[in-house]
Amino acid sequence: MESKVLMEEMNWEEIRDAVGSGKTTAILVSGATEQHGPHLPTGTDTILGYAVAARAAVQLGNALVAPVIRPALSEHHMGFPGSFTLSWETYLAVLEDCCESLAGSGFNDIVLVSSHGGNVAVMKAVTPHIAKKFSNRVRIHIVDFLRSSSEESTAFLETFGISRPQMGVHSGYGETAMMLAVAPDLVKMDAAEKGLDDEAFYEPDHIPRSQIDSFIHGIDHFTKNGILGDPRGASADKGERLMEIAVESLVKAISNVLG
Amino acid sequence: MLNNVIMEEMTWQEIEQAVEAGKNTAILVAASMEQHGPHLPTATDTIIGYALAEGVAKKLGNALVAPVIRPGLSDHHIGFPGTLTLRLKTFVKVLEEYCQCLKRHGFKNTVIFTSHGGNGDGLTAFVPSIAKQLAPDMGLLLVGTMEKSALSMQQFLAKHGVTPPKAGVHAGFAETSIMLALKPELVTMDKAAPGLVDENFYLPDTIAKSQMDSFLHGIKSQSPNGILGDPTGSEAELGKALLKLKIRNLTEEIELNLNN
Repeated sequence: MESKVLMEEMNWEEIRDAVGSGKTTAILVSGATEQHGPHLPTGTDTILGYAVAARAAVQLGNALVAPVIRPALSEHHMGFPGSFTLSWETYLAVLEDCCESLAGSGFNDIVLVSSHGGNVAVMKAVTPHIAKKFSNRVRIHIVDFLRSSSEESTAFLETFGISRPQMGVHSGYGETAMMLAVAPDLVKMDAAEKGLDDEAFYEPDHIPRSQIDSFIHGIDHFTKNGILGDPRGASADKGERLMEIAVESLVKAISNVLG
Repeated sequence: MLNNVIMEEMTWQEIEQAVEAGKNTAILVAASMEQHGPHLPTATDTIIGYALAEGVAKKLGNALVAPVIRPGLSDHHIGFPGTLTLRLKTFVKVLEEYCQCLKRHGFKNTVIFTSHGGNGDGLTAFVPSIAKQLAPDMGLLLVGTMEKSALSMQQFLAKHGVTPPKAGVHAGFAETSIMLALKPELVTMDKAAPGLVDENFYLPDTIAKSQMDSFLHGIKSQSPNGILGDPTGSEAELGKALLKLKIRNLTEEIELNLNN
């Protein structure tokens, strides 16, 4: 009970008491319901979003985790069955409605986070608008742990000879290892196979261009199996360390914005 | 895993193969994230929604379960911390966009029902216009209207000596028993206490007015602890039977409508 941080597993009195005793920050994660290759479930980003946010909230000690928003923005994955997407207008409306409800629950700060790269650009674009709308009731912040943890995660895997294109950006070694650490029963390692292995695609300087191309042409234009990376050989112990890196990065980022 | 029907737990290839093999009916449940008294978690309707959808999909044999829609329409519960709600127009857009996605993936029918009473009117009002957009590629079927499902539960519980005010309509004996069957670790039974147990609130002829009052004035004005009913003495065994009954009712209604 002491370390309960997922609002949806708590009753309203527990939430009231937690907020009353100083857990006045809500972490509002945007996840996704979208294809993750032939070996990971469509709930992957949502599952990892809950896991990273819950661990971060426990470490922070002053935060609770709101229900993860999903589906979110996955139009570029719609070529694959099982992907769901909202339009950006609806996604914005859902974000606003959730912030409104969280403000009503007594939180002082809401931190917007995304566990799915495809949400980040729109989330960044709309956050000032949302923050302004709620400015006299609750402070709205945004942090990007996917980005802030990416260099350390890459460096960690490189020490084991796992390259940037293997680690990947979608269902590759990195994400698969994290899923093996968090929800191994939903990972089918015997179906894991190589996805897009074009090195240039993953170069840090090229990634923004690669992402825009994905949005324009759809992920299926770049990879038939839906993987950007190479999940083969991924292991739970490396995934556990990647989780730690992600959580540390999120905790630090949230501490920074809360001041 | 082989017979998994929960799309979020499946890979895209498994979903594609299942749809091609004839599992081309999607079950789409609208639920909520809202207070459920001092003893049940705010995800109660969502947890029950998944369980009903999974049961129905397996019984139908030709269906998969879409991610449950939550938050839903819970403005009347907003006086209680932890409740999240969508505005009606956001809810309708979310519903419409889910359906568009299901159509794009080749589902022939989407069956919609709610595990949260507060969504009922919104669904009844807007499903027809969404259905019109999707025709003729995908059919939309709304089943399990609140009144019918509530009545069937009441009759079952009456046989076990549980009156309508005890069974309740929100976090009472019925819902608490179901949660004891599904997720006992999230139920705090020592916090369970009677909520609103005024008989007149639950009469077949007054329940619609009672619900309208909830929408207008908020549940808090009717029940300070958030419970409409009395969860004390709830039993997992009865909860299991209630789930079975609901799943059977829904499945029969779906089969009747899709086969005609």
